[in-house]
Amino acid sequence: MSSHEEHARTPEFSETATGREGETAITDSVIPAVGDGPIPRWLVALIFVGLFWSGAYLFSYSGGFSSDVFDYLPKFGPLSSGPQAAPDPKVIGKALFSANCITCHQATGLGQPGQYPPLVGSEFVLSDASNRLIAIVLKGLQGPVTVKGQSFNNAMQPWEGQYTDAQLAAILTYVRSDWGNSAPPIPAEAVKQMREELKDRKDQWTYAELMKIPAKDIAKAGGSEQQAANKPAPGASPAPSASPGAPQQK
Amino acid sequence: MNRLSKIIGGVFVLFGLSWWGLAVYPYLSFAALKENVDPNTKEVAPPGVPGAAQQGYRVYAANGCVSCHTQFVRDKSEGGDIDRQWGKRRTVARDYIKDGHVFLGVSRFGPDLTNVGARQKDPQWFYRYLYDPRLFDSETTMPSYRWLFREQVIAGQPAQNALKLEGADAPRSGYEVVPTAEAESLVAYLLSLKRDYALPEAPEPKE
Amino acid sequence: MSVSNQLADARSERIVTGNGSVLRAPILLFFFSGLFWLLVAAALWLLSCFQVVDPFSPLVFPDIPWLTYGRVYPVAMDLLVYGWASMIGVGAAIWILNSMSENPFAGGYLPLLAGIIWNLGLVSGVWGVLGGGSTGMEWLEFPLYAAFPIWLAEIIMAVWAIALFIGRRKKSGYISQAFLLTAFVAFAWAYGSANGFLQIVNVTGPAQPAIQWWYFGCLISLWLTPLGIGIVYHFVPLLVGRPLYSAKLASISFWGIIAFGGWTGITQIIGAPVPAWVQTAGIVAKVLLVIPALAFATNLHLTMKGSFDLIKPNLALRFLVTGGMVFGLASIWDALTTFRSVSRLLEFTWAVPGRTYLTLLGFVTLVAFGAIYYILPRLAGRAWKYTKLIQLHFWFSIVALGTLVFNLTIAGVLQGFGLMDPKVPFAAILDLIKPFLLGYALAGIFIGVSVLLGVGSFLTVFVNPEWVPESNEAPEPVINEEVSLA
Repeated sequence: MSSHEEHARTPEFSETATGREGETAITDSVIPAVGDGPIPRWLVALIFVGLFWSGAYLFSYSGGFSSDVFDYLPKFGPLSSGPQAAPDPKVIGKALFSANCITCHQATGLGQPGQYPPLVGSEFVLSDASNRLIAIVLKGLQGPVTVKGQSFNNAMQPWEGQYTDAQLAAILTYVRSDWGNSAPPIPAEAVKQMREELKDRKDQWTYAELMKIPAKDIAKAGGSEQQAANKPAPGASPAPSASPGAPQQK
Repeated sequence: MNRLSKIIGGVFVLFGLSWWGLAVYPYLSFAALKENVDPNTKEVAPPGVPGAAQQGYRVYAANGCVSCHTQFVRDKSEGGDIDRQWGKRRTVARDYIKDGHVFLGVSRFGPDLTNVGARQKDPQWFYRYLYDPRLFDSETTMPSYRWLFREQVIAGQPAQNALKLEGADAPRSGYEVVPTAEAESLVAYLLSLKRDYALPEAPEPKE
Repeated sequence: MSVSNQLADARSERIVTGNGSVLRAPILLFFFSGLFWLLVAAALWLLSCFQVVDPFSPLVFPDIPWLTYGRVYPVAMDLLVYGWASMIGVGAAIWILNSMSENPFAGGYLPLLAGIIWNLGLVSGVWGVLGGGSTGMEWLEFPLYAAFPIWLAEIIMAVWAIALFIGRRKKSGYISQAFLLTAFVAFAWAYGSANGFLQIVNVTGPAQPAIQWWYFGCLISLWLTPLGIGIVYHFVPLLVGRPLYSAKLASISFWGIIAFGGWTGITQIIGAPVPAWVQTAGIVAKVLLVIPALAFATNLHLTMKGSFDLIKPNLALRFLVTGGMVFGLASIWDALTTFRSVSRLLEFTWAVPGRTYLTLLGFVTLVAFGAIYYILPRLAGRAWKYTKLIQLHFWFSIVALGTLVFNLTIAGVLQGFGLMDPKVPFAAILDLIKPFLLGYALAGIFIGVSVLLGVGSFLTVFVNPEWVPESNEAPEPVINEEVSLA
């Protein structure tokens, strides 16, 4: 006979017959027996370890069981470790660019024809008048504008509220150095200076207003006043006529 | 019978504990949360949700946006959300006290949307994204939601919020694509998704 | 001695006449409905798999609002849980509780009513969500007009089960009764409470996710898990003809699940704006849940000791034992992925549904089919003839489960690393996991095939030969040695 018969079977199986004659049975009227096997030792150890660990974990990481504490780590001080090498602004700039700017200007920097201007070879990006470039990203730009001979009429939102000086400088540095663009990097102080200069302005620029800003190569160390005389001015603005499908106002 | 009543009692107590701790107690304690009023500027945080946006969450719920998008920003120590520019600081309970519906979500098959209204302020951008997500990412897994829009004949002047489409998406000449009321309320809701106010319990992390 | 005779000797069954025949209709109703909803769920799930791979192919019906991914996928999951798993669990529970109570009053009309109301709830739920009425809360998408009938049906079942238990003739109890009755009460309480808070009281603000995810923990750990364990604890000792190994281990498995189960749901949203102590409690509970799971698996293993050779021929036993073992593994995997250091990587990725599927498809579904394969021939008075089909079903189920969990977990890990590194653009992450999403679609196909095989097996029973209870032949699917299985 099979080995399982060695296990004792406690006589707890129901053997009563109840119910009406002649009915087809559909259920087994049995309750399985239950043995009295011991709890394996490893499981007992696991239970103790588990309870001990869970107590320690629960009391360390619960922020004092307060409903106002959302961070589980007990705060002992800054969590940073030692000084790190200054990261390359182009790398940071690319990451920041990929977060938001690519939705309009695309990861290739080519923009969308008719919709969003390209940044590759853009006279606004490469121009020595870097103060105007900074002004664009700080306050935004709306209305008709010509970039590389193509017309655009859209609205770029201001980004001054979204990014710090260092971040905007990194983005512009990246934009000026990728896809074949080659222009000097923009330091964070330049952005800070422009932010301060323009702090009273609330609206986005139009092309005409932007050109009224005196050209200044603020990216150069010291921000010396250099007229962008040798570089051709960015494309002539089209006649300001009431064009249908005016861009959305902010 | 005695053993049975012990079992029944035990089950009720243990289950009741979790019911109390995770359902009743949060309900009671979070209901007591008050908005924060800045002592200097008297600004209220979080601000209320503007009109059309209040209905937008129903469209968000109906179309299952929560299946792929989350709406909370984790602390810098718990994830890269802040580094990804999905928010300047983590979100806390008080950020949601004025939300008609909280869609925290558990899947990021698409980006987090807590601050999408701060990243994109142009309704056109949202309309175009919903109409054809491939315009922005050709490899996207987000489906299009064209039934939120309708094509209509241009009557004189094009509509103010007609979608700017070209190429294969562009409507026939003489026609324009406009958002339905559903789309407008959804986009108003998405535009309202921003946590650009400060709360004392969630300071912005240092760079 | 042939296998079937050995089995017949091994089982200590006594077939008695009883009032059980009135329960034939409700059990069959629950089984038929469950399998129907499984078919619908698998079809919708397959559609959603293809939608993930290519949302714009005409094959996946883009631009049809009621077939958009955001509606189809939640409906598939809800049907899997409230349609398939719940209904088979309830059907099996009716059988088990009745067989233990020897109560002449079986009140068969109550479970029948519950089954009808439940189906009505599911139909209106599917209609409502696909039509745009979803509540937007995961696992609670059914609007009130669909959730209420399901809750009502559950209340009716709980009342019936408790009445049956109170009126039982045999005064001692068995662990399965504890699990099944607790499951009924806990689900009624949790489902009613969650929908009450979230849809009637309309809790807004940060309490809403706390309640919602508490409910999810109850759904998995206090409804589906106890149903499954109760079923395994009942049928496996009967099938191997041995007592359950240890009452103490059974006790640990019971109390552990009841104590910790309700707290585990919040681990789905670690890092969320709920207080830290709530999240920590959830993590602790989920990790401690390994203890009752291992107690259950050990109990199962030691009950089976010496009879493992019965798994090969007896297919009902095979489904049940495999399901039980997968539960042990799933609990360990759940615990490992809950620690904050791991969950911050895997959160929000495909690994999270993968983890849920391990329990839903691995444990709950396999145990449900095991119960069907045991109960159905006795209910229909037939013996299984097409055991080859059932074997195929088993293997496809395992292959589907393995493919699914493997692809989703790898995709999740890659996605997790991508999400953690802010330098990786979001679009690049999707490119990274594309091949594994194709694997996911393949798994969807396998699931569909295994579901068809299961439903097919179920239907063939009605053309099978008659089974005479007094004979020594086993009515559950047993691979006959004499027939070549090439």
